Amino acid sequence: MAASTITGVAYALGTETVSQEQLSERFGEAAMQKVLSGSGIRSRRIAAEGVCGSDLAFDAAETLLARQAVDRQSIDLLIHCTQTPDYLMPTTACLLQERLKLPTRCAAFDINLGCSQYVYALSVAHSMIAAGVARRALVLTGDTMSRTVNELDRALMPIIGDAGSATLVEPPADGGGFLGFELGTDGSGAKYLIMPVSGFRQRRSAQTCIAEPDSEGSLRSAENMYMHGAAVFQFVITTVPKTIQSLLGRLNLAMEDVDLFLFHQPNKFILDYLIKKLKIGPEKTHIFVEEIGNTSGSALPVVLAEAMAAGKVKPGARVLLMSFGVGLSWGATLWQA
Amino acid sequence: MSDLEFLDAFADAIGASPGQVQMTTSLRDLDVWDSVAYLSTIVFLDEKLGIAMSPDDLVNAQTPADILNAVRAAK
Repeated sequence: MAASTITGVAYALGTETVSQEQLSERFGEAAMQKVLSGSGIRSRRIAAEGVCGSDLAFDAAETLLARQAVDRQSIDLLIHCTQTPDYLMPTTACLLQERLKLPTRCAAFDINLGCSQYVYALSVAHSMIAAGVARRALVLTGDTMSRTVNELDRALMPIIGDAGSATLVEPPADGGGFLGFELGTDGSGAKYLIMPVSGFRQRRSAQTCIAEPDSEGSLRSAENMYMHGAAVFQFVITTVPKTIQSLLGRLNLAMEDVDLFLFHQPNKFILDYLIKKLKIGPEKTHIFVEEIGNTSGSALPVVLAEAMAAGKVKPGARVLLMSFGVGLSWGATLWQA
Repeated sequence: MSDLEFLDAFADAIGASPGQVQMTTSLRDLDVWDSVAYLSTIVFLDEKLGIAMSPDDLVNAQTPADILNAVRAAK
């Protein structure tokens, strides 16, 4: 029997909605129509002013703990995934341990890995449970990546959303669980998805906050998020099929043995292309991005919760979860419900 | 695939008119060369030729010749 499984997932979205009409007023209708036809994202959910990623993670955790009547004293591991922490110091997970009233014997730490962080966090929780270090883990994600995007970046602003999630990971009561993980990294692509002035390598100055236009009219400063969309797309369509093939190969399984494929939700164009390339029928996947935007490291648990709510995750089903992005990094797991 | 066949197929993929694209044409000087043309190039290479350039090769390509060289190197 697998050492651990997912026993519940909940999520919270930013409460503000930025509609296509609002963006058309800002960037022009033709430009936004082009973005819509490329991304499929019609609306995005943004956190209200003053709300942090940890607030969204907290809301999701409260929903999950209440819904499943979880004894908070039984949680001995809290992993919080974020690239938009409350502070660089202290770690946001420590603040969440206190806010969620988890016991002080609960280990708590952050993972900073953006889009792929959920699968990484699941692998850490699973490994710590398998090693006997923890018994019941709360895996949280929470990001307000919209804060990192320049308001006049017509490529990124229309596709980014904010969300948080909570997942309970513990030993399975009656079978199922994580059957395997496949993780990977290619730091040579770090430059394609980056906030250049966001840490200690390059320090903020009066110049680094000045926004400059790019060749397509988007404005951003060195302190804003930058993404080379084509390079990331190239990375995704190359890496995802190879990783799935490798994971399933290690488990002596074929694509047909997987009941549901759930991916990070960058935009509908990439997802449609991936699904077509992998020859996955629409009934064997789920997409939830058009109305909320790309919610970074929360996108995968959000779509998992949506697939569960839609009845697509049946008991015993094999679900392949895969996320990919900043780093560049990626992670996949095969989970039996 | 000959140079001419590649150029015609590439021009069609990015929405350029026939004859607008030569092997040494600077991609950045093409009025159709934008983020969507980039994506169209990736889809063209993947679907029609079964080739995946590395992200670095893709970003560093200055001309159609650079792309074709990467395609031939990948075969």
